Amino acid sequence: MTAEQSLPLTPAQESDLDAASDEVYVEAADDLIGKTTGLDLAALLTLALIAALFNVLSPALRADSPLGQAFTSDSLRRVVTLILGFLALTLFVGENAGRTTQRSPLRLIAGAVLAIYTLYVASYVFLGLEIATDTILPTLIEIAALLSVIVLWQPWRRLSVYQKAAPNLLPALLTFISVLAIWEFLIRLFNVQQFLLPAPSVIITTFLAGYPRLVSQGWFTFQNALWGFGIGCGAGILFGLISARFNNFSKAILPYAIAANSIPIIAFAPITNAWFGITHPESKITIVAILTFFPAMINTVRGLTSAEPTALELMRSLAATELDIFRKVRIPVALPYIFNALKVATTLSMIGAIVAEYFGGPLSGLGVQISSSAALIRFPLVWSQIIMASLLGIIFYFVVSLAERLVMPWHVSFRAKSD
Amino acid sequence: MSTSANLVNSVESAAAAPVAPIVSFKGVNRRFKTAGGQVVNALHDINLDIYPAEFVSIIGPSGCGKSTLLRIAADLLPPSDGEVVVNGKTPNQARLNREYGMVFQAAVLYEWRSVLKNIQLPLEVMKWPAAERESRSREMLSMVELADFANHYPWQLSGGMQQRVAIARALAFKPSILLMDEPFGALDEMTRERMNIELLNIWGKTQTTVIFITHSIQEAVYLSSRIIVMSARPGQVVSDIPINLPHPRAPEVRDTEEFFHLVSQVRAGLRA
Repeated sequence: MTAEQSLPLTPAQESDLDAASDEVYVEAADDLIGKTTGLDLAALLTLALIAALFNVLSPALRADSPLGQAFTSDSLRRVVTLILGFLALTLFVGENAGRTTQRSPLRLIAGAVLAIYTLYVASYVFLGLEIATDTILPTLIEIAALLSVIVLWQPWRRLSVYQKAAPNLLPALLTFISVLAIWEFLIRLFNVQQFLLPAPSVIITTFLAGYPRLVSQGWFTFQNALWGFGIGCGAGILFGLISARFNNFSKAILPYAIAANSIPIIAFAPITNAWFGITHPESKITIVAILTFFPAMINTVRGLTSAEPTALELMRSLAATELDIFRKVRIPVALPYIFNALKVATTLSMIGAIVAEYFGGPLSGLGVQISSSAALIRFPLVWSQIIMASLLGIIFYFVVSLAERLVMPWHVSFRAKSD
Repeated sequence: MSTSANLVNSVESAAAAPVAPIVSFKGVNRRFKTAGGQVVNALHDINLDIYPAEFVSIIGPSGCGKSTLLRIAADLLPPSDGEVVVNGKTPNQARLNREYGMVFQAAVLYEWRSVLKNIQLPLEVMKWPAAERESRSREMLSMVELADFANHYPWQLSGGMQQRVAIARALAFKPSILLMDEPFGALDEMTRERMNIELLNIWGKTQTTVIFITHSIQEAVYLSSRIIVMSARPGQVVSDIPINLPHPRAPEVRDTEEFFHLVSQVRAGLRA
């Protein structure tokens, strides 16, 4: 109502902001990756990580097994361990929005076992300690961890969730399967040349045969994506906070931020290559940071200006300070918008990191490998590299959406759909 | 003035004895500019004194400026002319002094806070120590009979329960004036009647001065110690009706002759 109650944005600015934020896309992605089934995906991913980490813990498997070879990079091992801890926390917290029930002793024990397991992995991965790794201990603790995941997950108690989710997910799943089947069938029927389009079965065989290398290439490129994501989103949120607070700053910056959404920023890749050196990661990180900066900033401003007038009026009637209004109203209201931006940014950062390498980069990068495999007409390999890139992108997106669940379990999208 | 009988008598005694009004509107006008640039008179020459521990309902047709009047008292809007005195201060000083508890038509609960944390919001803003915040919010929660719902989130409550939380939040910091802007307007009739009974109980216990905006004549008569009837735009006070129904008011009071008489008196005021 009065001027000081809503941040100074004109209606035109507001509609620009709405158009520039990618809500629809995020909603569709969340439907597929699953807000309702998010916990199940988290449990499955945890099981997969525990299985993979066994190959890292055991000295014999570390050297010989393909999975052990896939996880040789120290930084990859560390990030995977961190993700494991994060997933364990997510599983332990569970779907707690509005639940007042006490955690059962069984859940507490399972949580403790997962915590011990994570610490055990961390003792090797971070500190290089080999605590009885050549005995039966890793096997025992591994089995205990797997059981704990099942205990925390309790899939048998989530049958009603699956029944509700199935009608939504089934059509998408059927589309996926039938596209693959038709693809395979047509390739065989018309005997299509592999350099044009390899059959799905060929792509999968290539992927399985070479995944340790694919993981290390993917990881190399993913690190650029991650750094760029951190820098770009961090700066974007910071600038969003500043421009929501200071009107003049917003007037000076916001039009460009909105306009930047229609610029193909990836086209600047050759320029950053020239600035930082083609083989230096800074050239790719810069591109990713610029790509992710704008959505992060736009969504932060949009979120911070989205508080209901009455919610602000209430604070005003309590004679709350500006700082209190920011902390207790504007930021909680902005969180869903910010997380939307972060989820969009995960995808953008993968695109940026890979495509930037198409313009040149170190040979260990996935993008460079994709373009050189294509030049060598090794298309099954190209496709399996693309699968690797997609997997990394999906996991990245999924981890951010789990973080969203942890930070704001109260949000409407996580509410139990049972009643 | 601790018994409810005394509360009711305060109207008459205020007229005779020199009790200072807690809220006093003196020649208040309020004009708005429409989008087309026309000037609309929302309130015209409002002179109104409200005394401590009164329950004053303001009733009038839609668009008569009742909410505007409340918002001026609350320092959410400035008057165009005239002045408002609250406890001897300007509304702005009174607001900064945290003398207003507000309840809106929507409960305005923060969805990211549990019920208990919502009630603690004013106490956090006012920097109460954590232990006192906890005990006071629990106390308020049992007052509105929602003790079992402390850790629920607002969206898990019905509309009536949400509004009870809003009332508990408004009263948590012991404001001297409770401003209620059609708080039960969005509730169904049965819930509304229950809420009315509870509000009367709370008022009896806390002795807070209440200014209550409503559309419902029955609600106004049942709750109030005094009803201010306003005319359509520009909003003016057309009658000032004391309600001397005895306290405690059982719900059955609504079936008495006296009640019907008061209702028709207010209705007549609205038609005038």
